[in-house]
Amino acid sequence: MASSSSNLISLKTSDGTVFKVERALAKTMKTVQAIIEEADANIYMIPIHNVFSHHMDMIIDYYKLSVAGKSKEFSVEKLDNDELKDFLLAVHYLNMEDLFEVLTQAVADRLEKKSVGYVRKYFGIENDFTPEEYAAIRKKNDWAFKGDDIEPEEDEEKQEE
Amino acid sequence: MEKLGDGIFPDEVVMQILARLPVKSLFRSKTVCKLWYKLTFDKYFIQLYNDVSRKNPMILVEISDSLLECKSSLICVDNLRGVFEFSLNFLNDRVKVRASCNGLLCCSSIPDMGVYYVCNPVTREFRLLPKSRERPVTRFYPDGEATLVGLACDPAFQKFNVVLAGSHRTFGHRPDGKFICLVFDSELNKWRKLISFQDEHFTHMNKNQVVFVNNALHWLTVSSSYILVLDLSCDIWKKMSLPYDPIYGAGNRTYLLELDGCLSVIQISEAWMIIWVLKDYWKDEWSVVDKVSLRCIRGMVPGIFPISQTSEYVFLATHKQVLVYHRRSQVWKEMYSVKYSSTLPLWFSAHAYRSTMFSCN
Repeated sequence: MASSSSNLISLKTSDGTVFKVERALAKTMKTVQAIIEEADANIYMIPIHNVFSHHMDMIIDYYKLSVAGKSKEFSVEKLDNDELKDFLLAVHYLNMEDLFEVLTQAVADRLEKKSVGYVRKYFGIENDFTPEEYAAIRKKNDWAFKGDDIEPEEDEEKQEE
Repeated sequence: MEKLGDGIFPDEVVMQILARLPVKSLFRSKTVCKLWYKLTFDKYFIQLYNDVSRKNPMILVEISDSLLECKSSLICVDNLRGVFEFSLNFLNDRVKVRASCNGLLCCSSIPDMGVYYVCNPVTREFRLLPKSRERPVTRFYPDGEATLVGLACDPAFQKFNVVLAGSHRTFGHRPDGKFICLVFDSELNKWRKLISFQDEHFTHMNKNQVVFVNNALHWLTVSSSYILVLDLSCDIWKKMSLPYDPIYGAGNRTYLLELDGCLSVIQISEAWMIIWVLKDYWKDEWSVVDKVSLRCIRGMVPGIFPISQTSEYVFLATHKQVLVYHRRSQVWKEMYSVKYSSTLPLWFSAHAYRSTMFSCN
């Protein structure tokens, strides 16, 4: 029973694993907190859709680090782009403010020097500019494309061949 | 709102990611698709971008290379990304940065005295201010240029004021004790003139460190016994007391900065840096928020100047370096160091800065 005297909340991930977490950690998940507040005394397990057990592992890691004042040590370097995307969406679903900021910054950092083509692929976006429109906007903002550390666009690479 | 991504990334998440991109990347992402192009003009997104960058204080410094004649460039140092070069060449003029406020810069033309620009170096937009009716050369005293230059940029209402103030001298006559103040209003695109009588003096740092809070511009004076205030809501000059007795403060150097939207004074003595904040502007209640030991940087203390800060960091400049002090961990770090000999010290033309997408047009 998730009674007020209990300090642990049970969360069930999409892959069926049950995590017993401290009430304080559950509080950082605004979605879960809302469910607890709305629930009657009979709720004993809160299902969290879109969140897998490997996400919960990382969430618990982050929580432990931030309680110890070491949140800067949390790293998502080992996650590939798709794993990072999934994790970000899980944290967004749970509405966890601090971790969400950390992850959006991590994604921004990964995209920072990438080409526009790469960014389109990452977000699954089609280029809906006509060649003329693209050329015009590109010309106006050409300064943003200059710099040795920036990944060149695909079309430019082809021109150099 | 239409979906920004492939349907998997909610719009809010996409915007939060874009808001954390550095300027160049953000401008490249304008070419991703039509919706993203429009996004960079979206009011909500601009507000979000500004809110995110508010947490990232920067310091803008002019570096002059004595080896390359008259070549000076700007660099920006921030805690997140380090040092990067900054260019104001989109103004097509040689300029000097006179004031910085909420992401906008006010620059004066070097070849053309009396010509001022207000620009946003991030978006590369700028406005050439109309010349005031006065012939500036014969009005300001002693050297024809305004003594005080202030920029009051209000992001909430998307407007700004530029203030040029100084002692007055009619052409051919001695100074008459009048203090002339010209105020530019960006909404009316006009200057207005205020005349008062005061005889104040300002050090170089006093002039550089103008702070805009509560719709008023604030400057410290040479005597450091009070803060001179120009209240822009009623065009009146006032005086504001400092948090400590000036006699007690003698021997300390005093600097005026902003801290998260509040007025802040930093006192530097041989061994300590004390940070004061005016938490309640109307009640005149100052409190000490930090007392920092300067033991680690003992040798640098006489030549160190605080330039910008947030509740987490303080940026300081010396003759050749930019340092950052992280308040929570009490760690000092060198962020930038001049590699060659420079004619002017870094602190001479250092300004607090943060990047915004605020439009000056």
